[in-house]
Amino acid sequence: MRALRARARVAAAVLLAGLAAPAGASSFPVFDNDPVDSSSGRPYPILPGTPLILPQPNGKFNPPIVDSSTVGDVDLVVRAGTIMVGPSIPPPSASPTTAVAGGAAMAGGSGIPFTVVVSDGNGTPASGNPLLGPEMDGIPVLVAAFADLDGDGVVGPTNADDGGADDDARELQESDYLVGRQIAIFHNGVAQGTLFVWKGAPASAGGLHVVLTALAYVGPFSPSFFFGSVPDGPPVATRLPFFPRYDPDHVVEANGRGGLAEPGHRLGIELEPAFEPPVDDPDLGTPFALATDGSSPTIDRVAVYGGPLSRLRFVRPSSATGFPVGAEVPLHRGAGGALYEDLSSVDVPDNGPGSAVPVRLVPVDALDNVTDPPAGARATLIAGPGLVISAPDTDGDPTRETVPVAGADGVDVTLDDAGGMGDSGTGSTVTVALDGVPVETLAVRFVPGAAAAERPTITHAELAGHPDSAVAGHPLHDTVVAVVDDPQADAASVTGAITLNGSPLGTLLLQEGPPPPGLDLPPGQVFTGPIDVTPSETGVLEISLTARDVADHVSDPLRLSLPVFADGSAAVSDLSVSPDTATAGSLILTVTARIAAGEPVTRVTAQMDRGHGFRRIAMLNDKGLLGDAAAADGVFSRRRTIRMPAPGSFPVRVVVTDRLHGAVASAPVELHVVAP
Amino acid sequence: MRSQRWRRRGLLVALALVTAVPARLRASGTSPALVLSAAAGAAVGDQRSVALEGSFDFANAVQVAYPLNLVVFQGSRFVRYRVPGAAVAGDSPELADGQLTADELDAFGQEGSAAAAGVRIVTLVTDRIRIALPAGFTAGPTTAILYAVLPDSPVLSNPIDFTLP
Repeated sequence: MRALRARARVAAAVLLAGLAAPAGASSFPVFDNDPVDSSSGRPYPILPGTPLILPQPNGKFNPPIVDSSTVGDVDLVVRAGTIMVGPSIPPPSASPTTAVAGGAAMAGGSGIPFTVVVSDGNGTPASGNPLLGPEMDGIPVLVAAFADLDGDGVVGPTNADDGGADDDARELQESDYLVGRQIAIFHNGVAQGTLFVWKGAPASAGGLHVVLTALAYVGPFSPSFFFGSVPDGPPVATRLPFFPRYDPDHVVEANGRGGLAEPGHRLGIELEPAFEPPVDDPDLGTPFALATDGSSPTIDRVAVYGGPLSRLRFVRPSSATGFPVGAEVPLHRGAGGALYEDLSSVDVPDNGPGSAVPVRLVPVDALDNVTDPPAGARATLIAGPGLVISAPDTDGDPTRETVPVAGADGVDVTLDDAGGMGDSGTGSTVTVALDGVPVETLAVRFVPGAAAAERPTITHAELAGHPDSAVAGHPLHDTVVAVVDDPQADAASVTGAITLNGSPLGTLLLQEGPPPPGLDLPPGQVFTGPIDVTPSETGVLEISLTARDVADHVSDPLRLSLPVFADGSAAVSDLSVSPDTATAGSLILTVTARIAAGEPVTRVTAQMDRGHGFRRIAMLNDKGLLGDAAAADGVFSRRRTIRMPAPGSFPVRVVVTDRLHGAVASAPVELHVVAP
Repeated sequence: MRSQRWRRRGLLVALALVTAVPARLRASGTSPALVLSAAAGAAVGDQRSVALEGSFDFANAVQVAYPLNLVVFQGSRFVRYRVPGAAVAGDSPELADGQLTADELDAFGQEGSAAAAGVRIVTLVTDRIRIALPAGFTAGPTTAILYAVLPDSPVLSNPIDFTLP
């Protein structure tokens, strides 16, 4: 299960002049009263607060041998910040200090100053007392940072969180993969330095809680041992999120040939667990889970924020179910504590309008941490061939959309195939540009829309009496007519839901039968049914119709809407679009409607529903301008160029606003767009 | 986007290259294994970028800012990104033969001038780097290579050839 994990590769870049070798192992007070391995005469490696854990005779921890009668004391303590160490070691700060992810000179990182202190392990106070002698001068200490990616307050797997045991595999990512490491050198029992971490989260979400830990080998330097680059002695450590493989053969790259570890040079270590951290083990419990609340006396924590906005990227929500073990899976903590994974490709059904696929675009820094964007941030999405950005669509051009990025939660984007069934090819892309530069590409694979191929489609619906509106408090009696196109011609029923301003008002059941006389309907199965409702207030009465066939395939909904006016409010009649049928692409559309109003109207707008609700497409006027034939004749018009890249029928309505009655909407007419 | 098979192929290439590093470098334990395993360009109008996959000694790049450079070139036209640091662009006779060798690094390092402000490292993570290219880069064959000038010896990655859209 555990392969190559928790890997921090570090190697000193040059062979440095050797530092003065400290005294022999017996003269290190940090080992006073520590249990000693009688076979080697050396203190056992033992982590603070955990039982003595030993390997099997073959050297493997499979399983580990646990001696609960011996518990490790405190040898090292790490604190965030550059602190003066006096007679005592200060506790972790009440609230975590903050930092920005990134390196000293890259990605805008701020660095985390740290202080490591050698402790005598005296149980009072919990962190012990500082050992400020020169015995460990020149010995390097590794400070390693681990992140609480899922925000449960613990680094590493635990069953004590809301996810229980279900998310333990995902939580291994927290303990297996460190997020920063640095070396510092002891002087008089204290080692200080600055650590840069590469993981963060939006400041608006409180940042990412990162725990600092420390580990050092304690002993003299000997030219015959690791070329004099590694102290020849046992390891000491703060609490760690796992029990590490301590043998320096397995930790130090190239057996120390790289020279002494130095803070300013490349470093090479591999820090791996000796065995998987136990969770609720009968003997050990959950000994390696690290709390991020400052309650653990040997470690400290920092809240790390994402750096400056560098680009936007697509993500998907992380799922703990079936989470892989043994491989690093980048996890990104976002706004509101959301946990995301990378999204590099997505499948989109090639079945015409409908079955759109939602994806999320979030702002990230140069290290791909979700971050808070600056005010006014905007990105442009460009859909490749065969693909449309069905939402957001503020400009009527679904192939390209410029979106504001107001917060770390990013932007929800909905993708759909262009055209009809099976005509989009094999794949496409969505490219995201920031300041004109392509910064993200999402691969799109078109997949067969098998279900859609057999689904019925409501191609037309209307009220037989053709009312332009309803009046609040007055009953509406009419007949709803729907025409269904089903590939097998086996549509069985049409049902409808009636709402007034979004609130349920009733249901409909339409039966197949002859249409009312005088209607000009397209070919297909005709369904009819009575509607008898009395809207109680002004607003919009909406009827959402859905067809179902004998195989239980269900159509996309088709909506009819009818404005509900108060007596005396504006009335819309003679609404038309010209042309009412056009070829896909750019076209010049003229919208015309007659408005009768008791009060002066303040605004008349035309709106179109491209499948995601009505959106404004034009402001109409009665001034004889921009397509309006004559001023002040009560007929409002507007001519403008719009882009309709995909075939289909698109409802267009007019909304009239006056000061007394507010906004009222007309019944829609349809613009039919056909393939070139 | 790249398939899993392509990813596996990239890893195999990376593994082969790591094992092929000269013994002198492996023995020292100090030389990073710089590998480029895949490249994919993108274009919006005249603006282009490229995402490169591989091994960049990421942890050290973040912590100690050692002199890691990424070079992208078309013919003798190049852009060089210092990790960290500003990008430099220009023309180099050293690249005219389509290669950059260890012997040419000293001269090459002196060439070029500061690139436009938008020419930058967009993303740097463990196994991927994405960069914004200068406007002078056009659709066509392109090469990228990593190098680091270390005190004992320079280290170069494999070059990777790709086509900018």
